[in-house]
This record gives sequence, C-alpha cells and structure tokens, in this order.
Amino acid sequence: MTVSWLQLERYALGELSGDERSQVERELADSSEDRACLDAILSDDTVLPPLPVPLRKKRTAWWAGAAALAAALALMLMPRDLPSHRSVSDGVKGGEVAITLISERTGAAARSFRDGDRFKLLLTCPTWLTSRVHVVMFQDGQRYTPLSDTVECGNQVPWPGAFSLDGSGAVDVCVTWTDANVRAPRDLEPDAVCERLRHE
Amino acid sequence: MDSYRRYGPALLRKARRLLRNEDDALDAVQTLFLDLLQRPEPEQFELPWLYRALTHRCLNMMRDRKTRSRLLARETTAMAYPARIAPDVQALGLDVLCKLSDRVEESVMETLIYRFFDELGLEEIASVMNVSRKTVQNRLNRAAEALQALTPEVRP
Repeated sequence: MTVSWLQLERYALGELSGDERSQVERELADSSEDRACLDAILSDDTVLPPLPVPLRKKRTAWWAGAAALAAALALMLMPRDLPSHRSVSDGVKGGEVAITLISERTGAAARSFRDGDRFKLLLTCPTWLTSRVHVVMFQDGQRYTPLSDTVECGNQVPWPGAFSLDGSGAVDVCVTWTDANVRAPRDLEPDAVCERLRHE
Repeated sequence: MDSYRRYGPALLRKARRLLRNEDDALDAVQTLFLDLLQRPEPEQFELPWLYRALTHRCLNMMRDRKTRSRLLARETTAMAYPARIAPDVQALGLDVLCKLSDRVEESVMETLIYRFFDELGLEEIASVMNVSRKTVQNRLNRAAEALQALTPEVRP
C-alpha cells in the first residue's frame, strides 16, 4: 500500500489523528518510496511569495442603492435615442475599468519596482468587456506584451500569470480594449487604463 | 491569510505535479487563495478541501484553449515525479491529460488526478469526493477506457 501525497502532507503538518498517524508511520517503516516522498516534502524549502491582497470592496449603504435605483428610473423615463448596440469606445466610463498592480515582494499595491520584482495584475472591468481586454506595457519607447490571454471580467479578477520588471525606465502597464499595436500609452487613449511603475 | 501560509507549499507541490511548470503552479495556487479572499465571510479551509478546489482550478486551466497551449509550451518533464502506483502513468503527460479532459466529464478527470497524481487510495478518494467507493472505481474504469482509446500504450 502507498501513502498518498495528501496523507503525507497532512502527516508533515501534524494534522493526522493518532490512529491515522500510526498507520502512516507503519507504512513509512515498510516503504522506502514513501519515505523518499516524505523527505521530498520536508526538504522542499520553497517560500511562497506574499499573497497579493486585493483591496476590499467598500460596503454600499442602503441609501446609496436607493439613490442609484432612482437615478436609473429617471434615466429610463428620459426620452432619447438609444444606440442599437454598445460600442466599446463609447461605453466605458471612468472608473468602470481599473487595474491594481500587486508586488509579490511586498504583497501590496505598488507604484514602483526594483529589478527583478514580480507583479500580478488585478483587473476590474464590466462583463461585456470579457475577452476583449488585453495587457500591453511600455518602457523606454518599447512595447511589451508579457501577459498573454485575456480574462473574464469581474471585480478584482487576477490576470493569469505574472510579470517581472527590470531596467531603469518607468513602466506603463495598460489594460486596453483597442488595437494594442501602438508605441506609446497615449496612443491607446481613451480605450485603456494605465498605471505607471517607477524604478526605485 | 493563515491557510495560504500553512497549506500554500503543499498545494504548490500538488500543482507542480500536475501542471509541471513552476509559474503556472504558483499562479494556480495564488489565484485560488485570491478568490477565497473575496468571499464575504473569512473561512478557515482544510487541506483536503483545498486539494479539491485546486484540482478543479487546474482542470479549468487545461480546458481553456489559450491557457492549455501555454501550459504545454512550458511543461517541464523535470517536474515529473516518481509514480508509486503505476509506473506506466509516467506516460500521462500534460498533453494526454488535456486531450482526455475534452473527452470525459470533470468528475472522471478529478478522480483520475487523485488516483494517479496525488496517489490517493480508493477509500480516500471516496471520502474527499463524498461518493461511494464503487462510484470511484466506475469513474476510474471510464478514465481507463478513454485513455486506451486515446493512447493504447497507457494502461492505468
């Protein structure tokens, strides 16, 4: 019989009951393979980077909800021509799309970087932008796309993967929903949200 | 988050066994805990529950076409581990797992991963998934049939 990785991990963490622990110890005494696996766990000295901590959503007061509902009703009652479909460039208003860059070194939102610092990007965007946003970065006049893929939009959604920075120039990290094949952040406006990271 | 500090390394080892590259393994673990942090009420999680949540997350990564191509490009065979249950399972590379995930349902993939990557016994899988031992065996049989259709040389 083999002791599962889950049991070995729980054994190493001291989480098994007395009976379970005795059982695992009997298996370990009989199996050099199991002992090798336990040794692999105990000798793994990987230290996880701090968990990027997203900002907590503020609790919305009941009256704010009521005011929003009243505003929505007023808008519905106003006579106007509505577009038949939503255009991306027209649709995103300030604040609907936001990015937070979390440094794995500090575990907090960052405005600067040191050489080799690794970052994760948290994105807030409306659901209708899902699969239409992508990340593009600029440093010293060069354009980079270190994060491929796109994401399902939502609140503080972690972008898959992470990116590292070095060099002495400031870096503009942009999330855009337009053609990103440009040379500078200003060329993305107004269809992008950017954050600047300065070199420490 | 206490659970991240306590269980993060164990989960990272599991993600490495499955995804076979350090960056995506770390990403899977971190995004799991980031999602847990977004829950309205803070909770304490136990390792078996987290193992299961991480398994689902890794399976989702394999199913997503864009993530899949990145995973396959980054796969590092050096991260393969000594298989104690069935040496043939070494042939269960990421490519085969990804293809298999298109052919069988999630519960079968999950069972397969517990058995051959986490090396859980049938009783243990039944307990983690809250199903009977017979259901576990049926799912493993279905996985074996799908695997044989896919790669005749692999017989778990």
